[in-house]
Order: sequence, then structure tokens, then C-alpha cells
Amino acid sequence: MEKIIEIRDLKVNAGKKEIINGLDIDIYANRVNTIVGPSGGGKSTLLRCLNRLTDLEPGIRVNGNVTFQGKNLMDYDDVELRREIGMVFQRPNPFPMSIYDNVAFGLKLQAKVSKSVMDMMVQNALEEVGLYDEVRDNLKRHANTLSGGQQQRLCIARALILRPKVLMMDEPTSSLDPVSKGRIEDLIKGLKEKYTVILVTHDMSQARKVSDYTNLIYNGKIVASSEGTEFTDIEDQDVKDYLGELAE
Amino acid sequence: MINSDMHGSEIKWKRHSSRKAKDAAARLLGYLALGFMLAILISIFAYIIKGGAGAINWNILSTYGNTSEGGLLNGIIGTWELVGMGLLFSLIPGVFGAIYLTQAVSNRHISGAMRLFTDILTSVPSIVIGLFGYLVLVIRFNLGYSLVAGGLALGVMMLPYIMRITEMSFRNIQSEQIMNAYALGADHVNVATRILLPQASAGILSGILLSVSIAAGETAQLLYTASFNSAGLPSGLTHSPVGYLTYFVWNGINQPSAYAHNLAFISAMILIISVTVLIFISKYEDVVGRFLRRVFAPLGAVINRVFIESPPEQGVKGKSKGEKEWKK
Repeated sequence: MEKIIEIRDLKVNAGKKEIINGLDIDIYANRVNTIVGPSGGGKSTLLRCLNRLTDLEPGIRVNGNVTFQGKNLMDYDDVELRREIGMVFQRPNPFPMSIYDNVAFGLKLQAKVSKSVMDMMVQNALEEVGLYDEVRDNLKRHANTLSGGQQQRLCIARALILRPKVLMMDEPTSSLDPVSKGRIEDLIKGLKEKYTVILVTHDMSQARKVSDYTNLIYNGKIVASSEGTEFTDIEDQDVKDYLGELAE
Repeated sequence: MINSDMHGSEIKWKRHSSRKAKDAAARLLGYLALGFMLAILISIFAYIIKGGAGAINWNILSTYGNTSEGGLLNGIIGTWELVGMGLLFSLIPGVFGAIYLTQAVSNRHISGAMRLFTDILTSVPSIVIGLFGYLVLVIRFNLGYSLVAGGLALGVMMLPYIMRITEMSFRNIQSEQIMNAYALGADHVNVATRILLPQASAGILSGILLSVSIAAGETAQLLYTASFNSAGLPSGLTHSPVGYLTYFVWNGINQPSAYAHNLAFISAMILIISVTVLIFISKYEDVVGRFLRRVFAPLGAVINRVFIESPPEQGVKGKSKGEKEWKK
């Protein structure tokens, strides 16, 4: 398996509080890399380090060695990095504009494209998330007229239009109903053909459904990693207890 | 040692009747306070309108005058000119200040200091602002009694209201949405113009209306910076005094003539009615906004087509379809 991101000894502090504390992790290309762990365990912070959204929070200090495609993360221009490593957030958060403008948002900011190319790219992105047929006649409608599940797929399309190498998803189904959740899980499985997916979740059944490689994060450290979702070599009792709770 | 068997100890439960009596007493106090406030408000309105409505006539509204003869037109127009000038000086810095305070990257010490200073600014007595305006603007910068000096003195007072109310409406925007914009490659300007401002326009409008209604009723700093002009409207931006309604109230009531008293009452009436209307609009801006949108929708569509959805720049020639040129 080809590694696309390697993180060594990552440390993140918010003021005096340590959020991530010497974390090592490998992210494999064209796989669904899942990160499972309890709330407040540093999962979201880890993602925000990877596209350097942490740069925007003055209280947060990040140390460590992260390489993406063999190049140090800090050697990338931040906007270029965010183009290559896209992100989907926990709650669907369409911008206050039309469906079309939502999808086109990132591309409009980052590239010069003609109207016809833009139309095509928007259509492709919406097709990739299976939303195009549902909205093709209503592209000018305000995005908040969509249902929650549709909004979340819109947000995925909005990230995919930039053709990222990596797509990070931070508990993307936690606010959705079971049907919408199922659709997004199916979508995630398909995405790995073109993209590397990093999925953060605290839902073990979701991990079982979609994950190729699963990492368990606990107290700011990766305590176990495995292909599939079975962890065998855990010694720490707290972690065992947590896994037991997850399995219930 | 505390008795660990909680079932063994006697508990004296409070009686419901005493709680209900307390509730009733609290409610009564609330009603009394409300009634007291309403009585004051209504008597002010009744007194002013009774004094003003009887004396008002078209001649008074349409001619220039001073406090003992003529009309109020110089005061009516002058008040709005001064307030408009104040808005000119406070709106842009207020909104930009609010954007700075909201952005995650802003320096905490600077934004903390900004909040502190604006809070202090709201509580500086207007006579002090007036004194400062007189010594610095009128004398030192040699603006004379004028629209600019008066507008600046009002703007200093309007700024904190606009800034804090705008900031509040920015804060209502989901922070994940802002982060998501950054994640898609937006810079601070993009975030301000495409995410923050479109969603905060209602909040900015209510900040404007509130600050305007407060500024329209100010007197002290204008006495020092705009003086008064009984001859008519100011002839220029500087070195030309301006009339305003609060002056008619302040000075008219001191004159020994019934006519001057009438002018004072009419001025006061115009002020309280306009302020009430402004506050009403800012409270119900969604209703008013819907009405305005319905009226201006055709105009808005034209503006949108011409300015906002202007055709995007064409792709670079020679590139095959689908290829993009990433911005550097």
C-alpha cells in the first residue's frame, strides 16, 4: 500500500492543554482510512492540522513532522494545500447562496475557468455525489432548501470540484437520518477509487462498513491500527473498555 | 457526623402556599415596574404631541427660522445632514472593525483593546465629546462650526453601536461554515464578502438604524461643533454652522415667547416620532425588509444581473475543455 501522508510525533497544544500528544499515523492512498476514538480525543484537531486550518487559530500550536506526497506540509502554500486536501465537516453547512454557487465556490476562488467549463465541473461534482439528478432543474435554488442529507452531499461535491488528492470527512453522518447516512456511506466506498479518504467517526458499525484501514485514537495518540476494524494487540485497560462500549 | 440514613431524618417540606404567595408578589412587582415605565413613556408622548400637534402648520415645516421666528426646515434638514455625515464616518470603520473582531486570526490583544475602547466610547458623556470636538476639530484642525465637525462628533458616538451590533450578527453565523470556506481556499477578504456580509446585512441595518436614532437626539456635542444656523442650510462642508432640531428644543423653551415654545414642542414631536419609526423598523426589519424587497425586487434583479452575475472571465485560449488554470 502506498503511503500518501506520514505523520510523525505530532503534538498540538491549545494554550497549556495538550490535545494531541506525540501521534504517529500513516494514511494510505486510495483507501478509506478511518480514525475512531472518543469525543474530545483529538480527531477533529488532527484533521485540521492536515489542511492547516489550525494556522487560523492563534491559540493553537502544532509541532511535528508531517509529509504529504513526500513533501513537508509546511512547505506547501496553505491555499494550495487545502486544494489538495479537501474537507467535509460534521454538520452540513451550505453557504447562503444557490446550489450551483455552492458547488462552484472553491473553483471560482482558485481557478480561472470559462462558464461552460464551470457548468461541466459543477455537473460532474454533483454527479459524483449522486445529487445531480435530484437538483438538475433547480441549480439556481437556494441551497438551504435541500434536505439535510442532500446538503451534506452538496458539501462533499463542493470539496470534490477542486479535484483533491485527499478528502477528509469529520463525522459526516452524525447529524443525518439513517437513510441519508446509508447513502453517504455507499458514496464513501465509491470515492476511494479516485481519492484517498480520511474518515473520522465514533460509529464502529460505520467503520466496519466502509473502512479499509482503521486507526484508534485515544487521549491524543494512536493506540492501535489495523486493516479492517479488528484490534487484537491492545493492552491498555481504558482503551479496551472504550472498545467494549463501542461494540455494544 | 451526618446521619447517613436519609429515610430516618425528619424533613420539613416547604409549604406550597408560601411559594405561591411569593410568585404572586414577584409578578405584582413586575407589573408595577412595567406600569410605571409605560406611564412615563405615555405621558412624555402625550405631553409632547399635545403641545406640538396643535401648533404645527405647513409654514413652520417649510421655512427656515431661528428659535423665536420662522420655521424649522433648517433644523429638520440639518439634523439629517449631520446624522448622515456621522453615518459616513462611522459605518465603514464600524463594519470593518466588526470583521476584524470576528476573524479567527485577529490578534487577541488588539481585539480585546478594541472592544474595551468601544465600550468606553459609548459611555463618554456627549458634552465631553463636544468639548473635544470643539478644541480639536473646530479650532485645531480649523474646520469651524460645520457639518464635518458635527458629523465627526456624532460619528464617534455612532461607531460603537454599529460595530458591536454588526459583530453580534457575524457571531450568529456558524463557525464551521466559515472554516469550510477557508478549507475551500478562501482568504480573509473572500470570507468577509461572501460569507459574513451577505448574512449580516439585516444586523448591520439594525445597527445603523439604532445608531441613527440615538444620534438624531443628541444635542451637547453639536452645540460645540455645529453651533447653530438660523439663516438656512450650511453653505459648505466646513466653516458653515448647521441648524438642528434639538437646538430648537433646547433654546426655544428658554425664550419668553409662546411661538418659541411651540417651535420647541414641534421639534420634539418630530424627533420622537422619527426615532420611534426608526426603532420600529429596526425591530421589525424582517417584515419591513420583505415589503421593501417586494417593492424593489425588479430593481434588484437588474442590479444583480448587471453587477453581481457579470460574465466570468473566459478561459485561456488554447486550453482544451476541462483544463483549468490554477490561480497563483
